[in-house]
Amino acid sequence: MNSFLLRADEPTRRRFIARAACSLLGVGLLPNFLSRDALAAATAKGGTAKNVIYLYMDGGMSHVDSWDPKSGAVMGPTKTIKTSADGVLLGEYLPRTAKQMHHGTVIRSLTSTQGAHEQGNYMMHTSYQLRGTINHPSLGAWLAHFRGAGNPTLPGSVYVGNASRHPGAGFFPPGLSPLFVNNPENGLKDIELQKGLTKDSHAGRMKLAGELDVEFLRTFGQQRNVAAHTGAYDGAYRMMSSADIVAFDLTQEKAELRDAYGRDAFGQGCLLARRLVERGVRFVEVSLHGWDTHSNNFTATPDLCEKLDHGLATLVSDLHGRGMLRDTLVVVATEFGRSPKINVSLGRDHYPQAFSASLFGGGVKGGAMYGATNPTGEIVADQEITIPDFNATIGHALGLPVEEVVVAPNGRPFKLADKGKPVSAIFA
Amino acid sequence: MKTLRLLLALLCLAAFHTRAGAALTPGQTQQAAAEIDSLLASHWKSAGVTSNASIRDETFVRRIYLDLAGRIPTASEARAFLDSKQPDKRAGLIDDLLARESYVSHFYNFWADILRLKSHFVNTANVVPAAYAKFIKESLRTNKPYDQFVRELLSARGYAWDNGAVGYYGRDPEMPLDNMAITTRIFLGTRIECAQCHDHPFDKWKQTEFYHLAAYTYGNKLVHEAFSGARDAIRARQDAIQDDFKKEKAASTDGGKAAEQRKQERLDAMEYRKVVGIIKGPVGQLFSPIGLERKADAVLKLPFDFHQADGKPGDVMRPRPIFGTAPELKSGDDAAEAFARWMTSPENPRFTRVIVNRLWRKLFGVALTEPLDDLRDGVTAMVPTVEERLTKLLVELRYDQKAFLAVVANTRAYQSAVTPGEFNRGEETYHFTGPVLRRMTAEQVWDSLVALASHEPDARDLTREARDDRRIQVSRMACDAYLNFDGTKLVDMAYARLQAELELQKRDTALKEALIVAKRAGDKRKEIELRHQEGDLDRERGNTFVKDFIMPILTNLAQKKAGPDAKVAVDETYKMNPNPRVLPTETWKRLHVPGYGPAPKTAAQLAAEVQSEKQRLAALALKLGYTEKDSAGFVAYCEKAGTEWRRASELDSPAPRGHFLRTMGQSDRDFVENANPNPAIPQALALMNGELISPRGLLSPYSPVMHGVERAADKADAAFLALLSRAPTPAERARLAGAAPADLLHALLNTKQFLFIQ
Repeated sequence: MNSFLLRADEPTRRRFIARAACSLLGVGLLPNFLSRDALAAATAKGGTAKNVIYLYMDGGMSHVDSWDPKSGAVMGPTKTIKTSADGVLLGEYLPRTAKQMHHGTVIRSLTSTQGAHEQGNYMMHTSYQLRGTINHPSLGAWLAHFRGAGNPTLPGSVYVGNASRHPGAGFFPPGLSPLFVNNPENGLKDIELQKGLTKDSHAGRMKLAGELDVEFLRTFGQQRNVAAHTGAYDGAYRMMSSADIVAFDLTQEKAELRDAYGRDAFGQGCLLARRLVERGVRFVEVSLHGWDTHSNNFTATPDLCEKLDHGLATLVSDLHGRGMLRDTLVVVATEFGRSPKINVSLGRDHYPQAFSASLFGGGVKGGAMYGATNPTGEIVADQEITIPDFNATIGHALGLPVEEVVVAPNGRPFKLADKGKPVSAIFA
Repeated sequence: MKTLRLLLALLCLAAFHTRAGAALTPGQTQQAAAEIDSLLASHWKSAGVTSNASIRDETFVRRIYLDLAGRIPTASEARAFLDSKQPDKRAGLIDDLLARESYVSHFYNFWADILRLKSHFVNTANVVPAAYAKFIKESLRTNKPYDQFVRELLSARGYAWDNGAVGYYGRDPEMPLDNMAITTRIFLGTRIECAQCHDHPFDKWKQTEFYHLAAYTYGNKLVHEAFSGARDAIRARQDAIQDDFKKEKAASTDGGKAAEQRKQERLDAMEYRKVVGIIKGPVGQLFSPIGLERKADAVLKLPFDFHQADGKPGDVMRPRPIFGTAPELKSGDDAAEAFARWMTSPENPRFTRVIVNRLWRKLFGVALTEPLDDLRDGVTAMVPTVEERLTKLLVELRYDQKAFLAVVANTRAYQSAVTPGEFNRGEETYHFTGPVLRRMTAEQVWDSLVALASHEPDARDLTREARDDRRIQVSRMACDAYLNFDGTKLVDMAYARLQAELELQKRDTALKEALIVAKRAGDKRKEIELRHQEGDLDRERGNTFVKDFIMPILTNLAQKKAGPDAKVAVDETYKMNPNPRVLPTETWKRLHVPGYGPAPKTAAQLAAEVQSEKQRLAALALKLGYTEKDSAGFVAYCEKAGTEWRRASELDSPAPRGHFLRTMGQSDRDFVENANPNPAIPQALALMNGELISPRGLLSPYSPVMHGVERAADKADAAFLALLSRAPTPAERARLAGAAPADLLHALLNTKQFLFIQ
């Protein structure tokens, strides 16, 4: 079941195979493919996730103010709070999340070499360095590539947010690109009938279109691309009449629950994510923008954390309450941390050397910590994990073949997480 | 005999070259087309196939508009052609379309896909891509010979405002090897990227050959800054400290420990990075990079993991072509120029062959040699005689692309029906008994819809061009301003500015501390007040920066250019970024020095322009027969069309994600020719329910297509003419009984035949 090959039209497919052979022969000369590491990873203990809700903290989230609190001067005015997990402390701005900490693991030993937003963001989403000559797929596209769409009447993956440079499908066919939703309350683009049309009048026009094509199809209907256009319309009709489109209708949720998620784009995006995952969408990313706190870190970070805290904590408890947490991995990620040293603008600057992320559900240990930084939060002191390792771990949680080599249209070989190795100690 | 013919042809060319735009007379074009047809006819005879039927004018007019103008003809364009009684009207239309701006627009998209053209480059300002796009459009507009076009791309250097072609290397900063792999692919149809990391497993290329070739362009480096004077001044100060240190160390008794410490303190006190930050800050985002230079000392070596027998890691690779010959480089020669000459020489066996195949494929849907970008020794064309003749023809035409396209478009083969069966690329031989059936590209669909929705469908976006020009001129101005300013003085000013910034910083820190206290106390009123003060302080910072730092530099330039009384003009109408933190950068865009683009318009001038545009549109409404009452609605509709419904070439490349163009498969411009003509569900949704195809778009009573259909005596006829360039068949007409204009158009837009080029 390889969606890339199935979607490609025949000539492309043949060329694709020829190129794959060319490159595979080439890389076959290198020693590190199909190595012992790969075999070990394939047999290691994995997660139970089928779906991912990926919460992305766009701009670089301060680790010492949130997941990796310290004591002393680096904290500024930020205080530390206890959580529902023994021994796991968080920054004071995440009180609701603290109560859900028994469902997740905090990772405090991430490290990266990418200290600029665009590069860091790209690396976090793709495991690869940003280059102008290729676009690597994001995790959601890899999942769609390996597993196909979970619900044929809904998109394979969905992105909620405003970032203009999400890598999307990368070099995979555009069909694997996430559906982009700017405002979670506005529903799906072009799914509604034109104003003034009823179902019947619309169907009447499309029936007329079909009748006008009779002669054209008699001559050309056998050509693959013509036939495929008919298929696309069939798919569109299915989607327009799909009962699952209701996933986008947030008004069907109780007002109290919507309030609990937070009445902002991020909170409602988390709620939308749950509704989509419930109906078979496998990967939903929700982005929270504004973490680039070069100045006023201690007024901006509390505001941002409040949004994250409402959305994340409600999401985890909601998923748990519905028995979906085992199947669903909730990821909180960002491109880099922020300097423990406070600058003159009372802000924190970019800090890729050491930062944090967290994982909930999907078979990861509850109430756990992985890795540690030194007492000032400046360097990784224990169990260092790179961004490719982190992404390999997510892939592993989903049971994906992280070592499988896929050949891009330019003939080059790539893997889901580049050279990253899954960290199996994170799983229960 | 052959030589004689070539000579004659060249003489003819010389004679006609001075004529505007035409390299061949109409008779010569027809003769060349007939020659191709006769070569095809002999091929068909030996292959046992027969020609496809010739096409009616209705099919021709739609096909040729889509192929050369990039959109369907409007109803009146189609009508004018169909009604014409001229015996050579097809040839006339071909020439007409090649001379139009829509040719530039359409072939810009064609090249944007091949060159991976982007309006925004990774991590760089938009000066280089803006100048690059302008260069490509201008090259098409002037019908620059193809070989010259490629030579200019490959040998470009200098500032972007002097030479937009620097965008070719600027597109792939710091990736000279990838750039070379793409260059050989798109211009020589030769795939050597495998040889970038190892000897090619199927073709003959060795890794060392790749490296020898890449050595030609390895010296290309982006130019990022224009304040070398300031750098020199700083370096002089550092050198002075270093000299003092050496003297002190020599005279010291503690082995230089104290001297070392003193040196470090003095260097720290210079705050080098901060000073450079001050100098660079306001222009860094604005104009980096600004061009391309050649580093003569850049040496390409074999990589550390090289493991072939014909070299070892670290071996220096001298420039050497992968095939053919090129003169040995002498010292002082520009390697990139030598490379460009080798590449574009008519003697280069693959250079002409690739573009011939590209342009042929553009019209027939299949290249003579498939795929055209993986040529290997022994790979022959499906109809070799035609490929050979066309290759000679293009050389004879001195790489005149329009003249070449005219010949191909005038062949009987091109003007034949599309082949009904499917051609399996790479498996079977195509005999070119006619073109193949093609789905419109994303740009062709969009541009066709624009032609239905906009009253001025081919208009260049002059606002956008002015903005891009301004961007380019501002960079040139900033660059000149720095180059003309004394380096020592600049550094002194930067130090003074640094002190001022530190003072501002102290006040800012105090405000921010108070803000935390207010927030933790939950004192909203105090918080708002403090935020206002923060904003005021930011503005003060920006304004003093302009007054004390930017203005002296620009005034100096203005005076050098236009005499001691020259002043810097300030554009008060420019809408600045609301974030005051970036004020200094934004400020450059408001400041005008004479000689760097047009002077800023006043608010009154701008208002007058808006007013006169409204009047123009209102007059158009009356002319088109709209009532006074409808005039305002018509004007509003046209204004929306003018900002949103412009041809693909006038929008960002690629269009933003989620745009109709991307939905329809426009290339992301990451890979060579990465457009995707395959259907997808969102395409069907966009064509059924999207805004452009709705009562707010081309189903609006103000759109030209609705206007035409609603007023037509026979609405079915009008709708068919506008969308399919033909009249309905009797069977179709029977089905249309009782359909309203919106029903007709909405249905027709959702037929398969609308999307395909027959």
